[in-house]
Amino acid sequence: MKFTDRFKKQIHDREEMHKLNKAGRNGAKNEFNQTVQGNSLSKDAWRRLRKNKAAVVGMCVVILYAIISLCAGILPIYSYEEIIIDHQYLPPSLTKTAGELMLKRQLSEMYATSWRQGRLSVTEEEDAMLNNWITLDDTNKVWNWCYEEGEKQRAAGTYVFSASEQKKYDRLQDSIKNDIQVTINSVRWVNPENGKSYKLDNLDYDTLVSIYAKALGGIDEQKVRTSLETGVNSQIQTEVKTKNSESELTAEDIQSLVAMEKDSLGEDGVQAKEKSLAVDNINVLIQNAMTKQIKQEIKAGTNKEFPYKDTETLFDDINFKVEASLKNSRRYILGTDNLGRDLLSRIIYGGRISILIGIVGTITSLFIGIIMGSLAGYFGGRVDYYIMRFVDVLYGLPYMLLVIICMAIFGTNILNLFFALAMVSWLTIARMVRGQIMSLKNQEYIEAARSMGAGGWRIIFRHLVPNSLSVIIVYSTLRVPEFIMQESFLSFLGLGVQAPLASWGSLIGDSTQGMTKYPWRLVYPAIVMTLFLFSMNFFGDGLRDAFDPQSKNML
Amino acid sequence: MAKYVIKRLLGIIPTMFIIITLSFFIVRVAPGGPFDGEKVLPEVVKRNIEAKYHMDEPLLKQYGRYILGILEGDLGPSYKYKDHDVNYFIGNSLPNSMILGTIAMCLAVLFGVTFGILAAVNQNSWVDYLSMGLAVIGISIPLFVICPVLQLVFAMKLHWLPTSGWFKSGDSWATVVLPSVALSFSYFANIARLMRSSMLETLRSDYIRTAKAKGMKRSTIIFKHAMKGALLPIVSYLGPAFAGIITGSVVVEQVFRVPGLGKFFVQSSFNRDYTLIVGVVLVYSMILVAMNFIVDVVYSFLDPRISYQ
Repeated sequence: MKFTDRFKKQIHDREEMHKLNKAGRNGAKNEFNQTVQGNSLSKDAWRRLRKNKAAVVGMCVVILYAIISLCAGILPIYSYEEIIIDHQYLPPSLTKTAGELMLKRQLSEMYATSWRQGRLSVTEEEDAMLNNWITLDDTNKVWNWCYEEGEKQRAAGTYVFSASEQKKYDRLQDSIKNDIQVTINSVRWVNPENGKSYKLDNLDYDTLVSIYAKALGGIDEQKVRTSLETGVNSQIQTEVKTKNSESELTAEDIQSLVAMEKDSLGEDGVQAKEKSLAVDNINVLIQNAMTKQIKQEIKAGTNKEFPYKDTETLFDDINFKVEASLKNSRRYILGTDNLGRDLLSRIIYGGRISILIGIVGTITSLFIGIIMGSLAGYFGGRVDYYIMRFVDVLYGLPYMLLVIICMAIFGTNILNLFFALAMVSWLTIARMVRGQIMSLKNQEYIEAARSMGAGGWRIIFRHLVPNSLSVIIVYSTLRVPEFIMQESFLSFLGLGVQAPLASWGSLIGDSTQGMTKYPWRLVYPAIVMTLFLFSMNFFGDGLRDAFDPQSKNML
Repeated sequence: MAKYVIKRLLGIIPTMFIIITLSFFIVRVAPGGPFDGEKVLPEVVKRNIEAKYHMDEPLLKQYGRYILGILEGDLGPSYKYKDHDVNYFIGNSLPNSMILGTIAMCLAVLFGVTFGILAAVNQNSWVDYLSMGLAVIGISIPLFVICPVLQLVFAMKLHWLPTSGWFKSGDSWATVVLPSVALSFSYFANIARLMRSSMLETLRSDYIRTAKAKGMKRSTIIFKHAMKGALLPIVSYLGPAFAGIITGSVVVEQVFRVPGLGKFFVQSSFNRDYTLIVGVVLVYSMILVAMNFIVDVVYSFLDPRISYQ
């Protein structure tokens, strides 16, 4: 090899080495002068976590849940405002619409009644079987059997509807085909003089009265005023009556009470009431007029595609958006509950609240726990002694019972729930953080920080807490499912989230009534919740193994 | 040893005191009282009732009276149920809760230990995976899901067991099965996991290797040598487990209509029946504290490495 070549090679080697040194952040070298590639703890943990299949699946499921509950507002699910009260207790079905399910239920009811009346021909064995099901409280089986048998006999022509049954059947068929749901949104009044549009609530009383009078077909404004007045009067009267339902009042008493109530409201208060009454009435008028109009169009044979959306104008200068859909063409994948609410959307909205409580609760308890734990661990001595004795005493309390008392007595709203749960759940975190900090606080880098004049709080929050963060993160992922369970436990007892809000716990709690007849109300929330807790546990376990591989065979 | 026991016993007193004080004042701080019904009582009647229950006295005096009553073993009258006092309710319902809790605990320990040992001995076999899978299910499913699901499947669909009731109130013995199984499930899961890991650790230790080297039979090694050491973590788990079983019984008793203490607890909190709430909390905490005490003492007996200071 020529000298120049050797020289070139040497230079090349050096450059390579330089690159490598740059790659290793601080250029650490081992005893063979090779660059050691540094790896952060989190990178290492991520590598280990990826190998754990159960944990990865768990993480994906958790992320999916998070996305669904974040997007709940824009998902195509029936929100609470669009409840149809007729759709009670519809069973879950992927293919059938609400109308078909209602028809099936009505038919099974009819066939079951006619079986009791002896009009449905059954053999003696079948009769015994049906009676046996009834004694076992299996109404659903009876209905299904009657439906199938009845349909068979009707198709064969051996069973004929009675007149009243035929009438009922026809009426339902008609309502399934023709009933429409009309929703009116963003009602605005356009001032004909300057073309500006206003929300009805923001208009002054006189304009509202004139609009209302026009909407009623151009009647005298004075009449409208008196009718609004009497309307508000009767409103107040009912309020007064319900308030004093215990004591017996004469008509005069009521009159004087109403007058008193009106006095306390004042002129403005009464007028505000009249205004809101007028707005409500106008909305109802619009809705009725639109419904009538669309129904007429259907009858006349114009083929409107449902669901249908449009902007319309009524009574000359009122603009609004209208949405119309066939009432009974809805599909409830997971069925409905006792008020006709879609179970799917209830589960999604409920999950939103459950997950939110899990996360916010964990953060709150982390916050308290880290502060208490780091105080005890860093300052030691008397502070440590008192904080830890306090924690010990609290540990001895049956805290779930205290939470139940708090919730029952201070009222069941979400804030109380957070407060009660967070108050009792910081204990373990405080202990853990204290232990971590005690083991870290005598290390050299803390010594260095202190000698450079860093204060106690700076050392705690810049040096000690970040270095014990991995333990805290792992613990808090295992904490979230526990929080959700506790919240749901309280909601199950009726002490947590209150209607119309729902959480998984309250859904399951509600479903325990009528479990045999409507099992889907229990089964789906239970499955959804258990799946989430499952994945959260797997994910947490995986994280723990990833951050601390030695703990693998421990609990 | 005796010193340790006495010290622990003395430590119970302040804990109980704090619990009583805390619950006494929490229930009274809240708005509303036990006599605020739907109907508004006339002023005179209300005053008379309050005088009867000493509620017109200053709060501290009431508190002192209550503490003195407890020292005499009297938990006071119930405010809601006029003819009975708290002792009567607790005396009637506590045995039911205790029976339920004890059965559940026994089930959990029995099955948990068995499955844990099986899993550890056959590590990484299907037995291991099966029992640990079962354990994860047990940990993930909340109690209030298990209860109605068991009821739905075994009572309402399969008709094997009665839906609800209690054998003391005249129903069959089978009424005990579902509530106790439901209650024990998650503790079974925890115990099985704990048992497996501690058994694995013990099986790797030196004295087990020595026993193997001496040619001892496998069953003797497992049951005589390893199990003793491996059971220690289980014993220390029993304290918190009992606390959980007490809380859990609130749900179980509600779903399966068991006439136990838990049902009273929720009801009385809603009714603002002050004495009954505090009484139930007192009894629960007594059980809890006593259980922790027993576990600690037993633990120090079992493990000579623990010093009694």
